[in-house]
Amino acid sequence: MRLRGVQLPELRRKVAVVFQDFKVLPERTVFENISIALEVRGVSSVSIDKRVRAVIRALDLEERSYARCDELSGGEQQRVAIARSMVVNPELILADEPTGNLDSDLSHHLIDLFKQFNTYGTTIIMATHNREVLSWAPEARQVHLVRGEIQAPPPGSPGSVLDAKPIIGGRA
Amino acid sequence: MSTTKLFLRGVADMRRFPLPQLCTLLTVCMVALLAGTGLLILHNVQTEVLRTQGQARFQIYWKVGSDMTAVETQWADLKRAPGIAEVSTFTPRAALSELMRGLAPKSSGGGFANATANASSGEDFAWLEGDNPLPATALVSFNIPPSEDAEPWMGRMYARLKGLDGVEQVTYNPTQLTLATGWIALIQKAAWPALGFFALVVGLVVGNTLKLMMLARKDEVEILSLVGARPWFIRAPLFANGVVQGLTGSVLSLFCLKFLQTWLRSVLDVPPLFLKVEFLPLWQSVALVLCTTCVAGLASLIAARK
Repeated sequence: MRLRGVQLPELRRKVAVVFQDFKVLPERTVFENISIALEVRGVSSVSIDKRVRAVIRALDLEERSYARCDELSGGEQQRVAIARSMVVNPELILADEPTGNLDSDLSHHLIDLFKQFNTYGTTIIMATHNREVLSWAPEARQVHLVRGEIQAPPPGSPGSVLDAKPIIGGRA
Repeated sequence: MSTTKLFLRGVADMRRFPLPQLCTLLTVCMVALLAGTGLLILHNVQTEVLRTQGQARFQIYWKVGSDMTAVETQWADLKRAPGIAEVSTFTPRAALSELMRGLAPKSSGGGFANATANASSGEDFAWLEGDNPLPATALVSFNIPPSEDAEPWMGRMYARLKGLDGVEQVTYNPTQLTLATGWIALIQKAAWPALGFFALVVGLVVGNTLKLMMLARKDEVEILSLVGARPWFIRAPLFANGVVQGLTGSVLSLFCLKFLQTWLRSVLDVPPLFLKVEFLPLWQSVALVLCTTCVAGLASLIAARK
């Protein structure tokens, strides 16, 4: 299908992406990086302030709200990217190694947040190399990719795609 | 977000990239200055040619020590002569004063202001009063009668002026008329295409410079696209950025051009040149600013298209 005109921006407003290389604007503050996703949607400044502060609190970035992103650590930048994807309540979040730069506690916290979003109807597709992360979401449907091809998971692994149990996946 | 807010954001965002912005501003200013210098030369040559078109100019030198009362009577006669366009006269004292004014910066060793003031007041050459080596001179321009052929007419006028009492030498340049006629023809045939080509070059340089500046904001454009910004949301701030760059750069170039014109005037408006370098007329100054601003805005829009 070929998208034309405003179809592409409209689609992108429904799908949020968390990149492995963060894709945050280094010369802007944490608050500005997160609010930009709401500004493009024409959300009022009062609402932007409220929603951005909520997501900043959820991702434990309150103390760094007005720091420039090029002053943040890799993990903090990763959280900014995640916050930007979450603040818009998208229908789908595509996350490429979102826990790659986070410590174990923050990774666990992030997976909990994803679960929470999933409960409210957001579909989350997450790529990871970290098996520990998978163990924190045993109910999630898993797809194993080996050399670009979908493989059957090892016997007894949690939430195998073969079990067809949609947990983190499938919009309510 | 309204378009006005987007424009204001574009202007405010300029401070985030100070170095690329400064480099772009300098480039836009220099290119606009180059275009302005071209216009300045064209305007002044055109003005000078049109002013002297159909005119013949003679420089008359009287003998040193001529009786100034008699010379001044001749000057008065010349000013009443038929077909006269312009008469500039110099007494030996005035000529010496002009000469001293011209020499003042070199002879004073840097005390230009004092030397000029002294030369003007006549204090520096008071000792030459009784033995001034310079002659009385006059620069006379005639309108050549339309029914006459220029060169024979100039020859006859030369002979007439040379025959005045006390006149030692008369100089004129018969090729001036040919030059003027040729220049007018050149202007009519080539000036507008040349100006058009020049405008195109200015447009390309300014446009490509702004495109290069946009590379500094490539990531921003990409991220805005990824979060679902519509094209105008991305382009409007960049457009405002380009317009401000074009406007500021071209206005700065006009200041530089004024400085250049003032300097050229002080250098060229001295004997024997007496070239009065004028600044661009208002409409050309406005056109320079508008063209540069439009090109810069357009280039920003094109740069942000993909």
